[in-house]
Amino acid sequence: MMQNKVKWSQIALILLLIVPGGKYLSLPAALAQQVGKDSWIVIAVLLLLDAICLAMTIKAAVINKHNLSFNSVLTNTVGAVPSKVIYVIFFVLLQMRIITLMASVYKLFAATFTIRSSWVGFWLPISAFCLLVVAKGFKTIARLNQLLSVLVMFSLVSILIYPATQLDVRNLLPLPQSDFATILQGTFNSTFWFADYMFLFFVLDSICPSRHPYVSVMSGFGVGAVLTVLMNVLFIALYGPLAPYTDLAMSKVSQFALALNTNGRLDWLSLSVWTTSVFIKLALFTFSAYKCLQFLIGNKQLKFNYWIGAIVVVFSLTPLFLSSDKLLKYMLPYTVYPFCVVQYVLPLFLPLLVKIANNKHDKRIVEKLNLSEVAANE
Amino acid sequence: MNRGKKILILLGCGALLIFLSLSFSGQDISARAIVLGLGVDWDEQTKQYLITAEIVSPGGGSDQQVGTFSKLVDGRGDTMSHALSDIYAQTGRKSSLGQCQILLLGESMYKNTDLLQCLSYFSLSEAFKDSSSVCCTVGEANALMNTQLPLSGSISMTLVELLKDAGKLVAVPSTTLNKFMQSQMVLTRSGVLSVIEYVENKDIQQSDNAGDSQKPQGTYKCNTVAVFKDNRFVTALDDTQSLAYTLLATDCIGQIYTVKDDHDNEYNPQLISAVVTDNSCDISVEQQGDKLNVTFTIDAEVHSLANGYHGKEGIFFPKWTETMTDGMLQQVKDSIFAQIEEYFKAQQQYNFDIVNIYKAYEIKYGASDQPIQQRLPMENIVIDVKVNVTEN
Repeated sequence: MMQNKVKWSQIALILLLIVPGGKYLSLPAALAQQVGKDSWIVIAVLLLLDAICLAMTIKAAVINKHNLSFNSVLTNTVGAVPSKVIYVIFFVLLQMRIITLMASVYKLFAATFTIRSSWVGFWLPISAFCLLVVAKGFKTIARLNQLLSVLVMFSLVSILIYPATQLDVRNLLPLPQSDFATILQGTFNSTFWFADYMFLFFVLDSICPSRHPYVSVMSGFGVGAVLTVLMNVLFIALYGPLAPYTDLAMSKVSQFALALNTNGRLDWLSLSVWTTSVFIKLALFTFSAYKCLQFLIGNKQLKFNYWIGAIVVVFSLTPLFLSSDKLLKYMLPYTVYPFCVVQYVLPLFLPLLVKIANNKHDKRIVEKLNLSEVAANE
Repeated sequence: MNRGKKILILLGCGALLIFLSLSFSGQDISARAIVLGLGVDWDEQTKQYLITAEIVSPGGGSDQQVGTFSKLVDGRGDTMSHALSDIYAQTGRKSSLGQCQILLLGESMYKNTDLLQCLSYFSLSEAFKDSSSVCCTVGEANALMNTQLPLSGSISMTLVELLKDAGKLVAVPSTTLNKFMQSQMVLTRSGVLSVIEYVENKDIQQSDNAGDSQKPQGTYKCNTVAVFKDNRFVTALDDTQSLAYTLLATDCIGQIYTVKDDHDNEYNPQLISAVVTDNSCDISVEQQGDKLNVTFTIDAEVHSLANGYHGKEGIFFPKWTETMTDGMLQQVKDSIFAQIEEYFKAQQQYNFDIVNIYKAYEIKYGASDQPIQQRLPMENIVIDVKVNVTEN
C-alpha cells in the first residue's frame, strides 16, 4: 500500500484544497460566538502557527535520509509506550475531526438541498469511498486531489467573488472588538479545527525528494490560508452581528453568489463541487487514523487490512448515540490539551526526533557492517 | 477473483443501491411548492399571521393561458412556521423557500407587531436567502400581491426588479433581510424598509379573458422608507425626507430637482429637471467635550434630465455637454439643503440614526460595553452639512 511515493507538489495541492475545505461550515459561526467579529484574527493566528509547524514538518521529512516511518522515528526516540500514547491521542483527534466534518456535511445537505437521510445511509458511501482510497494508497488520494483541484478552486472562487462585492467593511470595524485575552482564549479553544498538515506525519517515508519542497508546499498552504482568512472576513463583513446566530457559513454566503437572485440557485452547483474538498479531507483523516491504529496494534503488513479499516470507519457511527455537538461540548474541554501537544508541540520537535532516529539508524548500520566484517574475518 | 466473489460483490452492490435509495428522502420537485414571494399580514382579531405565498404553477395544457405561471396561496398561523405549515396542509406541498426573493410586510403587521418574531424565522432559516428583499406595504400585503403591472406577470418578480435593478438608478432604496436584521441589532438599532404603495390605474380596461387580466392593474410607488427601531415601527418618512436619506446614506442616484432655467435663450423651457447622476457622502466626526461635531459632505453630480439619459454610465463613458449654469446648480444645492434639513428634524424628533452617525463615532472612538446612546445622547450631536454640486 505504501510502495508508491508522492511528490511535494502533490502535497502542496492537497494543502491548498483541504486548508479551506471544511473550515467554512460550522467553524465561522462557532468562532463568532466566542470572539465576535475578531474571529478572522483568531483564524489568521492559528494558520500562522500551522505554517510554522508545517515548515518544521517539511524539515523533518527533508532530513529523513533513511526514509524512516513516523512509527520508527517515535519508537527510536521517545520509546514504544509514549509512542502508543501519542497514537491514541492522534486516533481520538482524527476520529473527532472525521465525525465533526461528516456531521457538518450532513447538515449542509439537509439544510441547503433539503436532502435528509439516515446517518447510516449517509455514512455508508462516504466510508466506502474513504476505505477504497486508503486501500489504494496515499498516492491515490494525491492523484484524486490533483484531478479535482481546479474544479474545486474554481467553484470556491465563484461562490465567493460576487458576495465579496456586497460586503460592508464597516461590519469589521472597530478593530479589534474583543480584548487580547478573549482572542487568546478563542485561539486556544479553536486549535481542534486546525493543524490539517497532520497527515504528513504518516507519509514521512513516502515523499519523493525535491529541490525546493518549502517553496511549493508553503505556497500551496499560504494560498489556502489566505483564502480561509478571506472567507471568514467575508462572512463577518456580510453578517456582522448576525454571525453567531447562523450555522453553516458556506450555505449562507453562497446565497449571495453569482447575482443569482433572478436566475435560480446556481450556488448549489458550486457548493456541491466545493464539498468534494471536504470528502478528500475525510479520506486523508481516515488514512491517518488507519495508520495510527496500524502502528498502535503493531501491524506491519503492507497490504490493506480490512479489519483495521472497518474499526476506523465504525467510529463514525458515534452520532447514532451521541450528536457531534454534544461530543465536542463534553470532550473538547478536556482533550484540547493533549490535542495541542500532538498538533503543535510535536511538529516543533519532529526534526530533532527525525535526526536522532536517523543517527541511531546510522549507528545500527555501522554496527551491522562491523559485525559482518568480523564474521567474515573469522 | 473467482466467480463466486464477483457474484457476491454484485449482490452486495445491488443491496446497497436499494438500501441507499430507500434511505434518502429528497423531495420530488412536483411535491414542492416553490415560493417566489411572501406577503405577511397580521390579523389583530385572531392574533394570527396571514401569509400570502406566490407559488410557481407551471402552465400545462392548451386551455391554460400563456404566461400564467404562479398562483397565490394563503396560510394562517400563530407563528411563521405554523402559517407555512397551513399552506402545506392546503396544497399538499411543502413550501420551498430557496427561491423566494421578496418578503412583503403588510401595514397591520409592521405597525402592530414586533418584526423580530416574523423576520427571525426567515433569517435563521438555511433555505431562505438572506439577500432577499424586504419591504413594507401601504395597506395589506395580501391586497398588493393580488395586483399586477400591465406589462408583467408575477408580482414578486415585478417588485424585485423594481427594488433591486431599478432601485439604484431612480433613487429607490431597498434593503435585504440580512442588512435589516443587522441594523436592528447594533448601535441605535435603527433601520429602514422601503414602502411600496399600489396606485391603481383606473383607465385600463378589464379584459374579457380569464386569468391574470382580472387582477387590478396599476403601478407601484416606492420612493419612501419607513424607520424601525428595535424591530418596532417608528415613523414613515415622506418623499422629501426619504430623498435626503438616499443622499446621506445610500449610493442611490436618480434624485430629481426642478430648477428655473436661467439661460439667455427664449426657446429653453422655464423649468427643467436636473437628475443626480453620481452621489457620494462622506461623514466625519469630531468630539469636543460631551458634544460630537458631525460633518456630512455630499458630492453630487447632476445633469439635466433628457429622454434616454438614465444616470451613471461608468468611468469609461464620455462626459455630456454641459447644460446647467452656476445659478441652476445653486438651486439644486439649495433644494438638497432643504431636504436634508427636513430629514434631520425627523431624526431629532424620533431619535433614530439611519445615516451612520453612531457608526462613524464608534469607528473613530472605539466600541464600549455601554449602550451607544447613553455614551452619546442624540441631543449632543451637532450636525453640519456641506453640499458640492457639479455638472456631469
